[in-house]
Amino acid sequence: MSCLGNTIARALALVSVGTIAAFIHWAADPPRLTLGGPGGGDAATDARPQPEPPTTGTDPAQPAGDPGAGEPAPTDGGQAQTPPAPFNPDALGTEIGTPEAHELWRSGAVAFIDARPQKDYLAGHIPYAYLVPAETIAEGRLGDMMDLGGVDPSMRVVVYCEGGTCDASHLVALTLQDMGFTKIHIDTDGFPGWQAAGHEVETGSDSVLGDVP
Amino acid sequence: MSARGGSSVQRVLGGLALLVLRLALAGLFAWAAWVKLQDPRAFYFSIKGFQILPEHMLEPLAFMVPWTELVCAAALVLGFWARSAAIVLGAMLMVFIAAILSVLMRDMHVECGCFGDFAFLCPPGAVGWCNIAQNALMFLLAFPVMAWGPGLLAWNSNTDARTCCGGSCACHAEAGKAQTQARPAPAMDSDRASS
Repeated sequence: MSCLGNTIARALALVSVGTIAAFIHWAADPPRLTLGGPGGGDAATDARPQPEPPTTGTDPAQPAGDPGAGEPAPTDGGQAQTPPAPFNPDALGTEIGTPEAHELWRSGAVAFIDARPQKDYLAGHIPYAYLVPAETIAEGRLGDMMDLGGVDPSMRVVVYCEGGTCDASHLVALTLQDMGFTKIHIDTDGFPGWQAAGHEVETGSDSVLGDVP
Repeated sequence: MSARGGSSVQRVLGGLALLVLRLALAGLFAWAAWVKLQDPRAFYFSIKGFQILPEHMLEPLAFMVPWTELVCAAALVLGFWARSAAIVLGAMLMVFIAAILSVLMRDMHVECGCFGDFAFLCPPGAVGWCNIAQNALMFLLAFPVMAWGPGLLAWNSNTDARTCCGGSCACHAEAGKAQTQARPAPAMDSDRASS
């Protein structure tokens, strides 16, 4: 075999060894790459009707205050109501937009998690959102941070990042799912969508966790 | 042989330089592979963010890339098929550079899945020109090993050099040195002639 042919054959052999090792690794511990729906089902195929976009209560000028101190949290939407239908968080899919995220924020009892880097969080974030950059996952600190923030796995959480192609929110959401969280939403519009809608923005450190990263 | 390989001091220094480059390259890629293997899911989302490959290819790649990096790093440390390992890593670096360029041309914000929080040259965060320079520098580390072989303390410097060297180079000298200990000279010459 020629000089170059030998070298290339060996290079291909090394790649093959890597591929075999990769397959064994994947077969032994395949990662979960999709989120179950907040109700335990697959959100991607959730056929339940989505709520109408809120016609009231989305006034950007409304003071934020404590989300829990806003309007009373909506209860189950099973009762017959004339439109507009009451906001029912359980009817939401995993991926939500800014209007649904804002309704959840107003309803209280929802933890917002900002998966962006710290410098972006400090420049502006959704009020009361926890700073949990995706990097904290690799360091194994996500569980500690959730405990510190008093976020229980039974709570509903909304994770956001920059929207668009940003996948940090998906990564944090999948890790939260591994930790036992079941009511997880991803705001796919992200912080830019929240800002564009004119909703209130908070700057500075995380009021609970501080400058954790 | 000595005319091609230079003096013994030059041979040793050349071999030593190749050894250092080989180990530096192996260390960087072993670290990069380890970071990715700690959380294949994070690397999956990292390469997904580049929006270059179809979805079904991402999960296999999220495992194949770090494992190939690790295997090649191990080959470099041992000096076993080091030239081929350097070529694989060099090719991967070229692909990484092309991928980052495509992201920059599309003006996208994509997190680098390179070294995790460890900043080799560029700070963690969105990929940019710094990452291209970083990969180009790593390619420069790999190039001498691609061209001249593994240098000193290589598992199979003899066979690696015999299959890689067409002319005078440091690994050739290493091969000659090893050959005199392990193989009869005519075998080396005939092998080189065939290549």
